[in-house]
Amino acid sequence: MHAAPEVREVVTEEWRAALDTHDVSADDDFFARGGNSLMAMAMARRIESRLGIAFPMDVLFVDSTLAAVLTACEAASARR
Amino acid sequence: MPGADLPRVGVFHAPYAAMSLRDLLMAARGLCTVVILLRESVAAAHPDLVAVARAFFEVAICPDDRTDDAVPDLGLAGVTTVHDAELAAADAAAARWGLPGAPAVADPWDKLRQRVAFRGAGISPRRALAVDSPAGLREAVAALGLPGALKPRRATASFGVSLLRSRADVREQEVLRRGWSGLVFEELLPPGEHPSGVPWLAGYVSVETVSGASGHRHVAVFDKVPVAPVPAADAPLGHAIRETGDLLPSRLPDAARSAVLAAATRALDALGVRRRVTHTELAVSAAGVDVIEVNGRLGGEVRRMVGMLGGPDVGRAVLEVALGGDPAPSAALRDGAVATLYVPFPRRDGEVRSDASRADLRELPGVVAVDEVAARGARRADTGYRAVKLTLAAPTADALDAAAGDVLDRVAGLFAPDGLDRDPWLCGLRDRVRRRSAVG
Repeated sequence: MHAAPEVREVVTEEWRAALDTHDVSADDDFFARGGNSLMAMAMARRIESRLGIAFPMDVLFVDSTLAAVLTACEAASARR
Repeated sequence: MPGADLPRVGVFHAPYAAMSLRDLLMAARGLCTVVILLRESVAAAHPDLVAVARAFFEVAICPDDRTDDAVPDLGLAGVTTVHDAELAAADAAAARWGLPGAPAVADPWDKLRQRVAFRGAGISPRRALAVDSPAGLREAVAALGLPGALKPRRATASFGVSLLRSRADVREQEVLRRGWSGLVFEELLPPGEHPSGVPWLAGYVSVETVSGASGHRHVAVFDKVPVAPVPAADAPLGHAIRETGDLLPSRLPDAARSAVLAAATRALDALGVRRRVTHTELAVSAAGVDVIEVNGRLGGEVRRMVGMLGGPDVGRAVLEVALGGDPAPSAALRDGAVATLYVPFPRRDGEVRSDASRADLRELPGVVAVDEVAARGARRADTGYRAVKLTLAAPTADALDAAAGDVLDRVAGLFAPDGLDRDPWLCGLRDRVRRRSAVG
C-alpha cells in the first residue's frame, strides 16, 4: 500500500504526462481535454506499474475527472 | 452482472470510428449491452484496441469473409456501426438475420447508386458513371465532360477522391492511380460560397439525421472548413482532398437551412433509409442545394460537438435505432459555438520536423481540447498526415472565428519547419478567417 499523497502524486504526474500539460485541476476531464481510449490504457499501465494497483479504468471511462480517478486509485491502494 | 437483462447490440468497430469505445460505453448506459465486433484483420492490426475493448465489452473477433456468422450465437437484437469501412459487414448481418436497420435497397451507400437515385428523384441533376479502368475513365470523361470527380463508390471519408479539371489531370490519373475497381466518375459541382457570407466557411454542410419508425429527424447541421488539396506527388490516387474541420451550429440563413433539410429528407427517402443515423453532405450556394452524398453512419466528432452545446446524445440514437426504436431527439442547442479543426501537413512524406506540444496549443484562447499533435521525429503518416486536431469553443460565432484565427496563426508558426507557414491552403484560410474577424 502506498501513502495517499504518493498515490496522488503519481496519478497526477502520469495524468499530466498523458495529456502533455502542466496545468491540471481536480475537475479536469480526461476525454474532454483530448485524451482517448488508447492514451487512457497507456496511462493506466504506467500507474499500475508504479503503484502496483489495478487501475480503475471503469471510473476513468464513466466519470473521467482527475478527482474521481484520484479517489479510486487511493481506494485501490488502500485495499492492497 | 450490470446490464445482463438489457438487449444486446453488436457494433462493428475499427480505429477512427465516429464514436470511440468510451462513447459507445456512455451511450449504451441503461439502454443496451454493446458487443464489440472486430474483423480479424482489424483485430490483428490493432492489438491495443482489442485490449481496451476487452476491458469494457464483450468482444467477438469475426473472420473477414464471414462477419455475420456469429450474430445468432451472440444473441444480438441489433447490429450497427459508426465506421465507413464496417458498413458492409453491419448491413449484411442485419439483412441476413432480419435485424432492424437492414437497407431497404441494395447498396444504398454506393456513390454511383446514390447519384442515379438522386437524379431519378429530381434531387440532383448531376450525372455519374462507373469506372473500372483507365479506358473506362476516358469513356466517362468523354460522356460527361470536365470538370469531374473520380472517387471510390464506397468511400471512406475523402480517401481516393480526385478532382479532374483538365485532360492533363485525366492523364495523370492514368499514370498515378493504383487500383481501378469500384470507382465512380461524376459531374463536379461548381464551387459555391457559403450563403452566410462568412468567408472562411466552405460551400457545403453536413446534416445528421436520426431515421426511426416515424420518419427522419434532423438533429444537427454542421458548417465546414474548406477542404485542403493534397499534392499529386504525395497521393498515389491523384489529387486527394482532405476534410479540415466542422463547426456547430451552422450559420446558414433560415431559408437556406430549410432548403438543406428538405433536400436531406428527399435524399434519405430516395435511398429508402430507415432505422439508421446518417451523415449527409450537401453543397450550398446562392444557386441552391445539391446533395453530395449520404453516409450510412454517424459523422465524426458529431456526438461530442452536439453534446458540448447541450444537444441530444446522437450516439445513443445510433444504438436505439439499431434496436428498432423510434427516438425523438431534440435539435435544440444552447447558445455558443464549437469547432473541430484538422490541419493537414502540406507534404505527406517524411518525418515531422516541428517540435510542438499539446501545452503550446492548449494555452490558446478558445482551445478546449488538443486531440492530436504530431510529434517531432514521428512519421507524418502516424497522425493521418495531420499536424494537429483541435477542438475550440466560444460563447458566440464571432468569438469562435476570432479564436480560430489566432489558433491557425499559432499552428502555422509552430509547424513552420514543416512548411505550414507557407502552405497555400493554410495561408488562404488564415486570410479568410482574418477577413471575417475584421468584419465581426
